[in-house]
Amino acid sequence: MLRAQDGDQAAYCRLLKAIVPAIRALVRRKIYQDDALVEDVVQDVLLTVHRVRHTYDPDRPFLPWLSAIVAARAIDALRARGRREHWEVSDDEAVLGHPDESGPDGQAQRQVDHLLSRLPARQRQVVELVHLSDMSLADAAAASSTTLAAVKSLLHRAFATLRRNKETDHE
Amino acid sequence: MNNHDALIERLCRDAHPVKRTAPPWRRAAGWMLVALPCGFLASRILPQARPDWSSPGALWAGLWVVASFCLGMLAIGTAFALSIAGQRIRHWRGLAALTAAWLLIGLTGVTNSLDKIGHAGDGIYCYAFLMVVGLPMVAIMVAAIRRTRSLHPVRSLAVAGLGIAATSQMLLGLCHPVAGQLFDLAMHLAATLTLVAFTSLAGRRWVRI
Repeated sequence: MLRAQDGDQAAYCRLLKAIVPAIRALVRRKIYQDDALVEDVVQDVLLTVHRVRHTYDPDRPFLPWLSAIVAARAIDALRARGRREHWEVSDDEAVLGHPDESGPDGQAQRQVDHLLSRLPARQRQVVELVHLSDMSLADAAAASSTTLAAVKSLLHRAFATLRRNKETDHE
Repeated sequence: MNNHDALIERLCRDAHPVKRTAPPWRRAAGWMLVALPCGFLASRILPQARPDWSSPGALWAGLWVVASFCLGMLAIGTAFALSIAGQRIRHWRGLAALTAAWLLIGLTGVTNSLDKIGHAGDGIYCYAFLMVVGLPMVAIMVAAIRRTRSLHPVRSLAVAGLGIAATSQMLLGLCHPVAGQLFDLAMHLAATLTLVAFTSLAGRRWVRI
């Protein structure tokens, strides 16, 4: 980490790759039976480690610093999931009353809707703004009151999650 | 099992040398050096009284100023420490004891005063003074914590708010009559709560990771 702080990219790369299993193990202590969420948190932790790498004190052990980041990110993810589940309303009447779209386009649309509905709210919003509403990244950042870097990161994570969910569905 | 190599490659390409964060006590000292002159200059927009240090309540008023400075320094240092991942409140007992002593000194000053209760409306000037002095300090504090961000923004900012309130009270003590009154003390505490709440709410957006 010391060399990473000094700008040694190779050392930083080795460090990040080496800590991924440790991060995953720490996250799994907090989040059970939700592999998609665990992998989301692993990515979130990697981004956080990158953003606050200057706060690591080389005179202190590395693991407590990393564990604190993992714990905070995992709890944030659990809270966000809790909020999503709390606000999610199952409207059976609306589902039954929806017109049957049996054509190939309708099926594709349903599949897209299904995949998007499984994304965390912020990731879904960014995908919808950039890819469904054809907004530029800067416009999407302004519309969602966030930074350009955050939009890029959210998109990256959203596509990783979409790919993962799609593969899981096929299995 | 997921593969995060693409993200890691991207982060590594962006890994420029970074300047390590200074220890919390040094950051707290730096903050004091910037915030105290700013608070003092902001206080010049309000009319100021000169305390009479020879009058009976001067001892408690002087102790209040000293306790405010110590509490401010300790709380600001703790807020900076809390903003770093993996660091905990190591001096929480000291912080709690100093806060209790600070309140006790204020109350003792009131009980030893000739006019203990005061009059309704007393302390409005003190509240305004603490807000005028405290608000620039809040801005400086948020900018300082933003350098490291915080995994627990509300916790860090609430402790920082306590430090800002205590530091402002120290400046107030230098241009405030030494006689303590209950209404006056109540307004001091109301200003403290306002600064803690304002710092926590206003700064959260800027310091969270």
